[in-house]
Amino acid sequence: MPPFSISDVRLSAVAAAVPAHQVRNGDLDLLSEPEGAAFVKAVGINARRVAPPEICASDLCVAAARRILQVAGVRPEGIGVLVFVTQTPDYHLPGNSMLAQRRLGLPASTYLLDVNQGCAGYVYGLASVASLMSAARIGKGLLLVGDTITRLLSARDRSTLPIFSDAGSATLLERTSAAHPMHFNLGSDGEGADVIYVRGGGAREPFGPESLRMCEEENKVVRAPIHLSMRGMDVLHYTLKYVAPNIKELLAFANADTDTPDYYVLHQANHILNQCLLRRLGIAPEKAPETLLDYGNTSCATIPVTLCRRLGKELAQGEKALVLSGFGAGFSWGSAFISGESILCPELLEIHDPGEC
Amino acid sequence: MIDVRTFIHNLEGHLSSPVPGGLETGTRLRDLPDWDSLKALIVVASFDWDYGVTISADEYAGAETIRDLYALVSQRIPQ
Repeated sequence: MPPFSISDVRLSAVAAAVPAHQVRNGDLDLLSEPEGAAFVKAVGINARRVAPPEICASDLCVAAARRILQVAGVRPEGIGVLVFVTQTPDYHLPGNSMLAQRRLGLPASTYLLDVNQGCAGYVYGLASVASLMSAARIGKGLLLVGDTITRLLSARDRSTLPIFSDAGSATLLERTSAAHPMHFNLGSDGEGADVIYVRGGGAREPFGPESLRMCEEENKVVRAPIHLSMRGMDVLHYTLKYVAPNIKELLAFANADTDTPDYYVLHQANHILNQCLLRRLGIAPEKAPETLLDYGNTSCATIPVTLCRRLGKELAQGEKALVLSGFGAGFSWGSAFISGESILCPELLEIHDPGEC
Repeated sequence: MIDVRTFIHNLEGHLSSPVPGGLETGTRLRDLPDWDSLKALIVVASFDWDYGVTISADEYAGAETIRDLYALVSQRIPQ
């Protein structure tokens, strides 16, 4: 679809939460010392957050949502729409949006929607919430975006285990005639459906003994159909093929040039990929903050984690122009150009146990 | 048009561990000791970084030697 704008909704607050448990890639047996050093240099990930079994995506997102309602001074009954983006829902059904509604005490009239999207999910979620709010004249909406993607990893797969990490987020949007337009540019190429993939455990290949059968794909890449697989070279190829033109097209649509945005908050896929993308677009690396080193690739939550961890104070102080860009499973991609008033961004929350959610 | 020696020199610069005896046009990267998918990713990313050329995973897999990679990349370098 062509780029589009929503002119009466603003992004007013973002919060993110990570599990307190940190795992250092240097402690993994999968990587020798030289391999580990090469990995950190190229991929840029030193440590990751891993949720214990009792913490799910809904817990992390609800903790972030409670924080955001508190700092923004918004009561739960004022929320008219909630969209929950995750690929690691607590249950096959019902969706996480229902679980979050109950725990947050949102009214029965709330429009609830669950979205199965990966690393492009934050931008897809923003576009969905903003569109619904604008079309149905809803005053306030919540976007919850998060994954416990480490649940899907094989402990013997070095192509995924040192990369992925867990996080959840909550974003508050408000309808106001004083909003600056939010511009979106979204796309997908289903030919890349198996680039980032969990084959087993769904309706096509239901869970059974075969789902757990481990198979050595290559040296130190051993996994079962129930585990997440990723072809890194294809991710690089799809990203450079689609995301760089997508951001250029978005900037042109917003009547902006490359220098206009104060920051480019890119999905934190891996360092080398993001550096290639920035170079293609002619963007200075200091305009694209990273959180890969300490938080890894938190799937759909990398953009809100980076907003809170790296830009929180600046966004709270005054108006900034931002390009947000996510890309990944699908293969899907989406970018948003956002400007306007300050954004409330409380410090990243660290969750020790579900009682804090 | 980049010459093959410069192509190899650039490639060596991106690989963090030196290759014993250096790379040659007939070198098969995947046969090098300790070669892995991360090094392959670095090589493919370096083509974008150095020349603005992307190649797909299938194209990489179809290139047997450095000579093949050079042929693939050099013809796509924007003039």
